[in-house]
Amino acid sequence: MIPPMFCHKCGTQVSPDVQFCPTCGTSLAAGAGGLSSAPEIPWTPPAAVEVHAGRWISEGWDLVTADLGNYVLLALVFTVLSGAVPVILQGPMIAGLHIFTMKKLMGRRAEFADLFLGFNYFVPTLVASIVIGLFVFCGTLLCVIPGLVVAAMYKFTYLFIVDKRMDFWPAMQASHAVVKRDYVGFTLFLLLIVLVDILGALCCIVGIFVAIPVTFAAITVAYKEIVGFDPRTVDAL
Amino acid sequence: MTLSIVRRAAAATMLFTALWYFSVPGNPDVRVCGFYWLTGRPCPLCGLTRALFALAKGHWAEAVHFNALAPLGCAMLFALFWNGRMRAWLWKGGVVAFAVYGVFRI
Repeated sequence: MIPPMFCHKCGTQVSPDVQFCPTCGTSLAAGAGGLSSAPEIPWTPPAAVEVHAGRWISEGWDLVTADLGNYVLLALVFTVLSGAVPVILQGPMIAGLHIFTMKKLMGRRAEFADLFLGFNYFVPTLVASIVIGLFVFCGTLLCVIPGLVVAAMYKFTYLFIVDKRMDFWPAMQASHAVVKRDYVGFTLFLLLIVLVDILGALCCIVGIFVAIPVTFAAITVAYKEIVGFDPRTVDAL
Repeated sequence: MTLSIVRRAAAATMLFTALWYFSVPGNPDVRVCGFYWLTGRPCPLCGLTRALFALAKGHWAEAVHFNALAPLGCAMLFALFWNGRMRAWLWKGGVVAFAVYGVFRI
């Protein structure tokens, strides 16, 4: 017996032989096939980038406070699982945090389970987290500051993996291509993000569960403004 | 003159003023360099912070004593506030120079 099929966007039960949802018109092929095998989306680095760190963090704050319960739960689960299984789960779950905010920014329904959608990109996000971690560690060994710059360079990597279907290395290069337009601005953005996390941790430790999603939301907001989301990504997730 | 250039110039001036006004100990009690902790030898960038503070006060000999490439490091730092083609060349050459210096320093 063929199991029932449902549209991954609106949830309508559909016949297995249709290519598009009769209710909302979403392509069912992309959802069924998953994104891991989808081709990379061509992307050209912007000629100029303006860093608005304060506004991005402010918009991140607005997003988080508008759905505080879900965001705190996401941060809690992210922290516990990343702590319980270090390295392995961190990359995919960072991607999941970005996906949650991406959906919100595109006006779609975001839910707690989105945290685990990052596992659709398990290999590239895992390798990216290991490689970026190694680069940042080596940079930090050299009197700390190079580590900060390297961390700033690669903070859009997970978004490029998810949104543009890139492998880990092209995604890291794409993130670098954006950040190199203004190393100072993006490094200051990173320092502000770290400051937000420190302030969160100072609020009886539990504040960190608000600060963490604010920082990831701020990075997603920055990506949306500088690079722009591919409209097909969220529908296909 | 665009707002961006004004902001960059203001940030560079603030940085220079801070380096000129404040001081850091010449022999710090705690060193933040992981490479130094691991090997007991200075990394290519060790002494650069102290050297930048000394340079801003015009103490060139002291700065070069802390890190021989301090003037280059200073130029690279302030070039960050300038979005031009020269900056990329300066940084590429500077990174190579610091790498070579680091090898000799070890």
